[in-house]
Amino acid sequence: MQSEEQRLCGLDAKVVFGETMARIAKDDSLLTVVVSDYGRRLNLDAMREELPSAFVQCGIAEQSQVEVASALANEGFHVLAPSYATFITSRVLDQVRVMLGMMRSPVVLVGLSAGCEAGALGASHMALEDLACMRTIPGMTVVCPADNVELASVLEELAAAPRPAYVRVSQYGTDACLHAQGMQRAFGKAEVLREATDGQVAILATGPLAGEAVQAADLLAREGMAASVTEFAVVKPLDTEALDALSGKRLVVTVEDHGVQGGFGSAVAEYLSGVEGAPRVLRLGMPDEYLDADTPRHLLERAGLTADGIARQVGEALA
Amino acid sequence: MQSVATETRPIQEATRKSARVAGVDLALRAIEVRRQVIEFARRYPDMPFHLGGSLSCAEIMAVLLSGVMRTGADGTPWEQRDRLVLSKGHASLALWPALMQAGLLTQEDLDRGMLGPDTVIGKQPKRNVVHGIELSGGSLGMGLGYAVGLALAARRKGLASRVFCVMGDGECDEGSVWEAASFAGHNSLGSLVAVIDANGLQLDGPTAQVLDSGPLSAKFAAFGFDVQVVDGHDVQALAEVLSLHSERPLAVIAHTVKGKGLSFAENDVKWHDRCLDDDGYRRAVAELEAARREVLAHAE
Repeated sequence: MQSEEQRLCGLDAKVVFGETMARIAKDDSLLTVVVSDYGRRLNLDAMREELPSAFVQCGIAEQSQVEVASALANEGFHVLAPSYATFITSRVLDQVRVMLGMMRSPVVLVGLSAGCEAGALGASHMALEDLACMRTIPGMTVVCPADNVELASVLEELAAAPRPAYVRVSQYGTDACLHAQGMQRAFGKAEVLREATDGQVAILATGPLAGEAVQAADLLAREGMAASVTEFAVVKPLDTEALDALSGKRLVVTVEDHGVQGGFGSAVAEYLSGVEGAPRVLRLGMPDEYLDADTPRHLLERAGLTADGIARQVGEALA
Repeated sequence: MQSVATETRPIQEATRKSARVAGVDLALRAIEVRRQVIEFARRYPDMPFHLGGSLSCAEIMAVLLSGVMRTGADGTPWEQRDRLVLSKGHASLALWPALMQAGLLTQEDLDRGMLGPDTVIGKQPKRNVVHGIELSGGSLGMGLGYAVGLALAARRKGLASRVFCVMGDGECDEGSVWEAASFAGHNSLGSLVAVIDANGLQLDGPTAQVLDSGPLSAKFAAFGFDVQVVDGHDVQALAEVLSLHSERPLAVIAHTVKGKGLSFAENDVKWHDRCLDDDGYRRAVAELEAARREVLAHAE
């Protein structure tokens, strides 16, 4: 029989968002979801039935969305504000600076179709700079769940204890269900997906490409190269203890479906640049350019972010 | 007072409590707000403070905080208080003395100054609700959306709190103002009042030349607001329209003079932000004292 975790992993992340909101609404009358004409796809009917006042519609107006969400949060409501990842981050960056940064309004921004998930819609809809934007805001918690089990868990955690946060949701249809046994780690802690105690290579991944990283480690093992894989769902604040544990490695490889500058890999490199004798860092991510529309799979392949591409680039770095 | 009947639905006079402070006192309080604005400029002679837009909204601030709002410092249960969102944060110099008059700040808070980490007040506000400061910063165009959210929160909690948002007419260039206005009109946020300090000037010159905002009254009406147009230096007219209630949001277009009260600064774009020298300070003090005497003379 299919487990609950496997069922979740088989769903669209947006459906999981709505299911999770409906579950929270049963116990939390303060729950509020502020949308900007991106509510219909979020499976919110059950939540609205449970708690009609939880739904706030702003129309296609993300600036207003962040302002309204912030005021509601500061008046005590538990507020999530979902939209396309690029519009709820870079488009409203000044609102996020003032409202979530300076005022510390405890709003959970949820960026949907992040990375190159919306690749078919072209560069305007891909979110490849959103992590860079959000992690430079002081006080922000920035999370990239790797699968829907983790997504549901993160949303429940943040709705129960709201804080200025950005949850980045991307999904590629071929992603592994990495948490089929349920969530084992504490919020904020990195999770070792593949041990390789004596190996020279540590692969660190955030978001759904953590599954590709595990497959890449399998490919490398066949070549005789042992590589560990660690998933960092929380990009900020970074689990630096997990990074300190990498001191003996020859190569640290970061993997993300985000631009190669400014995101998770940059955060890791920034930290390790202050650690004496730290391993070399190979940052794998999307190229520094605006990409033409294509399927997400093609975009990831071209960027070298599938299992094959990751394994190949690690091999080249060690050659 | 010029009142424009742009609405098909008549605005109902609110069953508000009578203004706590009568007209003469409100006028004196507005002059005292200007005096304090000048004192801030005196204290920091090298800082090009936003004097013009602070002086233009002195009556608006004094009337709101001492005449119209249930501030929470007046015995209103704190959760049920009215909220004031200063969207044109550049005019904070006028906010601080008006908050002090309302009992939400002390002279000691003001004396701690406006710069550095250990202050209560600042050049731009920092959210601190126990002092009645609801919004941080001076990034223009964000206040109305925030005020909309506060009004929505009050509605959901079943509170009678009103939310006042003070904005500039230049600020209405910002598109985000109209995102928020759409929301307010569409959702009939009757507890929301947008007060436009329409002083007709912005950094680069007259608003009519920089980016003509056209008839703001017609724009807000089109977005679903009741609209009142007043002389923004007439405290009684302001008190009257700011106390109006209906089931629709209200926009008060308050026509004001930038730099009001300082003859050498009035309607002069250079005083958008400028340092005040010794001579300017002395003249300002004398002119404001003359204005104070005139109010008193008229009262007798």
